[in-house]
Formats: sequence, structure tokens, C-alpha cells
Amino acid sequence: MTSVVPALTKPRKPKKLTVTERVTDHGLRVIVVRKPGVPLVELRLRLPFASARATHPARSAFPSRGSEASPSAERRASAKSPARG
Amino acid sequence: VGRVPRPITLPAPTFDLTHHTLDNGLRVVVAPDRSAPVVGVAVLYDVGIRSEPEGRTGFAHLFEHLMFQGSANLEKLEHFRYVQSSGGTFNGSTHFDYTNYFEALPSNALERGLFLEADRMLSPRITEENLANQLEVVKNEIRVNVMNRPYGGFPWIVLPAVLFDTFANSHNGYGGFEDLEGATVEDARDFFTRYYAPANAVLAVAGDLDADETIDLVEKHFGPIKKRRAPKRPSFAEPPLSAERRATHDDPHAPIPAVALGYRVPDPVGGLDDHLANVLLAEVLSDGDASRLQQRLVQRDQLVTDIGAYIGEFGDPFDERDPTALTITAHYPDASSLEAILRAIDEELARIADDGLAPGELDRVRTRLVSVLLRELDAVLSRTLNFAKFELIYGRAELIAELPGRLAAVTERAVRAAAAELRPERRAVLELIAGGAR
Repeated sequence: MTSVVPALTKPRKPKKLTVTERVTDHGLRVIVVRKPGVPLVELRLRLPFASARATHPARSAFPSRGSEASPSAERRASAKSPARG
Repeated sequence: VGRVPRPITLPAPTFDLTHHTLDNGLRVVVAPDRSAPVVGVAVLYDVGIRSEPEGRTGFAHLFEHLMFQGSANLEKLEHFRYVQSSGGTFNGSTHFDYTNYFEALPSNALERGLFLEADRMLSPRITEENLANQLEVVKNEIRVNVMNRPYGGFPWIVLPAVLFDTFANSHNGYGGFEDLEGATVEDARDFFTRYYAPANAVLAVAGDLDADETIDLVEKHFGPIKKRRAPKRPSFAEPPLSAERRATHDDPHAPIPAVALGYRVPDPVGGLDDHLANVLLAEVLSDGDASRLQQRLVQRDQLVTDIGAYIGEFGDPFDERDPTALTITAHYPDASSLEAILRAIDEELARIADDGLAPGELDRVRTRLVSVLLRELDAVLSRTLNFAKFELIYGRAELIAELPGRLAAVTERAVRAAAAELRPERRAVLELIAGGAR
């Protein structure tokens, strides 16, 4: 490698995020993480998918729509930019 | 109680921006954010598809490739190795009004990233061998993304030819093979000398950094690059259309027909508030299942399988100077339903212009739009690219943080007025003929 290229400096450790965890009276486990940056909150509900029973809430919710990408993000992704690389 | 709705408050991000201009004219924006040990580095040159010379379609993109083939102090492929062995990622892309080059790196590679960008701003290795090699790479890219893909390049490559008149605005930005093959080393050297001057570029650096130290590093690596005069940028503006234009585009791979409607819309920079009304109109038309065109054409009339409205050829409303376009695209199973589709779109636009919006409708779409914007700004690289883009196109990186407030101030009346401008005589309609149906 060429010598004029600057060397890497000492890596900085990532800051620890503040994590709070609580279980509600009806058994829902809630994890709250504060991450500074932009004024947004993100909520994710995860249902364990470990039952063969057709009426299990996870099974019945599974086919419903929704993904991590918003419709706008999907739309933007569909408009192709040239020249990636 | 009056009927005037209370203005909405939308959350705005706060950024700590430092500006600096080098003696050679390079504009620099630095934005510290120490929440994670990563940095973004982005250089935007004020040259894109619109500045390609006649007979050299696709040249801006071909030249972008040449910027990765070695530079003053780096052999071919060393750029890739240095970024990746530092734990970073890199890329570049060619747009209508600019070309960008960027890296996301762990913050301990900040100086290395600056060096890599400065080295190719100083002198990329423009040789016969590199040109011949990248010509083949670009041709393959076009084969993969356009020629051998259903709806490839639709509509961004083909709609401008119908919607606009000047070579600058209407030509194929990916380039014709004959034009690309005609490009010479001499062309590339001239293009570099003319458009890749430090004074014709913006550098943005954001993330885990100290602003003063970063500016010192920028001075160290970019300062020695000799000053060259920035080219004078011509106006690319075109007047509004006065009669509807129609054209067809044959797609041998597409399984079902599609249509793209393009409308010339006001100057996004000089008339930002009118532009934002159009941006919100596009969201009212097609953002989500509750939007006007989704409800009418997908759900109620079942004329189309999908429909979308967006501003900017690549779907980013802040990516282009004047002229820019509002585009509506749809795919539909029955080729004979085009007129019904156009009629339904016109009726929905007239309904917005004449009857206005439902209570809460405008606030719903602007809240969603701001949340998409904030999400994008959360990631260090897209944040860096946005600082550079707003500095280059709008002259003020700060504008990003003001957008939520500006969007909140757009009135229903302004959105109605924007809808009233989208009349059939103001648009180009490009029908995609599906040749891949079997």
C-alpha cells in the first residue's frame, strides 16, 4: 500500500445506549432504548411464532401487510438511479 | 369556533453545521454528531447528465466510473481496498444536475477518507486502458439495468425525450452505445478540467468528528489542489407545455402495459414554496392505501395494479434544479384501458382542485413525509449526502432542518392550486407497450 495514505487512528468505542426493560401486568415485555439523533420514535411489536395452533395470535397476524419500509421508501426505491458504482 | 385549522407542528432535526471555503474555492460543510463512531464523506461535483455535450450521451456517468480507476497516488483498485480494509463502504452516482462520490467509514478512518477523495479531485488516472475497460463495464450495466430487464429505465430514460425539448433535458442519461463508444481520453480530460474544479464542488463530512480538526484535515488534503475557475452553469429552464404530447415505448420484456405521465412543474429552487405544494400534492395522490389515486384506480375502479406519483426523475424532489417534473406511473393489465386511466387521474386532480382536501388529509401526508425524511437523515451516509446536496442545489445545507417547518406552512389552497395546474395540455404521456406477455 502507498505510504502517503494516512494511517487509521485509534478506534473510538461506541457509546453505550440507555436501555430500560419492564414487564407489564399482563405479561408484555417492553424494552425502551434511547438513541439520540433525529426526533423520531420507532415501535416494533414482535410476536413469538412458535405454535402450530391456527388460532395462535402470531399465526393469525402473520399474513397481514406491513414491512419496515414505508410506502414512500418503496416508491423511491423503485425509481432507479443510474451509475451505482 | 372558526373553521381555520390550527397549523400543525412537525418535528425538526437540529444540526450543528460549520461552513468553510478553501482558497481554491471548494465549499465544505462539517457536521459533528458523536452518537456513533462513524463518519460520512461526500463530494458532489456540479455536473450531471444535463451538462453532457451533444453526441456524448451517458458521458457524465462514464466519467464517474473513471474516477474509481486510480488517482495521483493510488494504483487501480487501491481506492476500493483502502475503504473496505478500513471497514467502510463507498459508491458514486450520476444525477441530472450533479455527480456524487461518497464513503461511510469508522471514524478512525476519517483522514484516510478525506485523502482518498482529495487524491482523485487532484488527478484521476484517465488512460486509454481505463477508458476502454470502463466503457465495457458501463455497457454491461446498461444491458443489465435497461436492455434485459422488464421496465428497465422506465420512465426516467424515455420520458424526458417526450416531456422536454432541449438536448440537455431530453436525452438518454445512461447513453447510447454509439455515443459511449465515441468517447475519447481527450474528452475525459477536458471534462475533468472543466467540471471537476474544486470551485465546482461541495464536500460534506458528518458524524463522529471534531469540526475544527476536520477543517484542518480538509485544508491539509484538499488545500494543495490548484484553483481553477468554475464553469458558468447555463439555465436549463423550459416553458410549460401548451398541448398534450403522446408517445409509445416498446418494452420487449414487460409482461403488462404501463404508462408514465410527466408534468413540468415550477422551479424547485427559485419557487421553493410552490415546489413544496407540488411535493405534498404527489403524496396526497399516491402515498399509501388512503391516497387519492390508490383509492380510485387500484381499489375502486381496479384499472391499475399500482400507481405512484413523485417529483424528480429519480423520485427525490430535492435532487434537481429547474426544470423538474412531477411523474405519475401506473401498471395495468388491460392495454385498452389507457384512456379510462387518464380520465380517472384527471377527475381526481380536478376533484382536489375544485373541492379541496378532506379534513386532516394534508396533515396526514406531511407528517408521513417528514418522518420519511427524518428516517433518511438518521443514517450517517444519507445525512452527509443530503448536506452536500442541499448546499450544492439550494446553496444552504441548513434548509434540510427547515423543511418540516416549510412543509407545515404549505396551505390547502396551495395544494389545490398545484393540482389545478396539472391539466392534460400540460403533460406528456408515454405508453409502454408490453412485448413480454406470453
